[in-house]
Amino acid sequence: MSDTRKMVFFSLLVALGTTLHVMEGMIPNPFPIPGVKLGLANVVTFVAVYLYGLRSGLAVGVLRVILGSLVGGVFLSPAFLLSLSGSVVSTLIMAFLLRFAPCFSIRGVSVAGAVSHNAGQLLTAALIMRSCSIFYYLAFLLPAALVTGMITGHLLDMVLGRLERSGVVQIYAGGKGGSDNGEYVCRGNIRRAL
Amino acid sequence: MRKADNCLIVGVLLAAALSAMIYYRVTLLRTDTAVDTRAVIKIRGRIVRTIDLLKDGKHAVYQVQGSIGRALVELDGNRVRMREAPCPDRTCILQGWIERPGESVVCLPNLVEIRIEGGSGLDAVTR
Repeated sequence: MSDTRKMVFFSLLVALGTTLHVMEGMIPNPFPIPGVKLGLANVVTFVAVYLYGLRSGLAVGVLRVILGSLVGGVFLSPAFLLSLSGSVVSTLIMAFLLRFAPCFSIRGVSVAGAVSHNAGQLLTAALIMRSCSIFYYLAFLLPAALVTGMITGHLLDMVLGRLERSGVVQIYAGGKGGSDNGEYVCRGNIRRAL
Repeated sequence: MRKADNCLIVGVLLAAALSAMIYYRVTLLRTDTAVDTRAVIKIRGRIVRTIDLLKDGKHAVYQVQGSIGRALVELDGNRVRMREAPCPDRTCILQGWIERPGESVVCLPNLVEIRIEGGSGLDAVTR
């Protein structure tokens, strides 16, 4: 894979992530719980981790939060810190599971990412407020993260399938791109090519 | 879905149930028999005002300066609420009145927290 192609694809991912980040903030919350978002921007971060590994994933996650909050005008505010910590924590967890826990499918990793995103945000919120009472919110956030994680996991299956079919990206997972039921196999030894 | 995925989902549901139970024990089980309660207003974790909550029907509005702007905390006898806040999502206002010990209203963008403290809530439950 040439460096230029990688750079172009990486930039596209950052731009996509930023756009989704900003647009998601504009859509009125469809869930009855305040603060719950679908996490479409995390789909992009996941693709970056899946294709290029942890460092690129972290870069995409951090860059899209910085750019998105600059557009939204909340740079360095508590909202920015929450987005940043959620993004970083979920990227770390997803990269770890992709690398060392091949027993999880893409959807499982996506759910773990959504849950850890919320957990990281609550931890940061508790640190900022210096208050533990905010952790009660887990009771509402965890089931919400399950639902949004399943949805984004399904989206990821579709996105990765399309990326591979289009020939832009080749994903080898243990010698096999996708399993028969359409679920992507993720293993520790994913080889990526462009 | 694989087996490990299902285990993860069950684990998350259990964690959610556990936190819901803790939340229920800490706040909802505490009955209205709690006495000597007070509302503590904190900004960035620092106490800026303490309001005694008495069943005398006293009505007042307190102004506090949060991280991004002015917030109004309304007192109505033994309950309080966030009346006005400069945050964009207004979650804290929508939460409405709180009165039981352990309950709290948190306005994250403005870094303001109102928390009910004191009372003999748990004694009233276990008897």
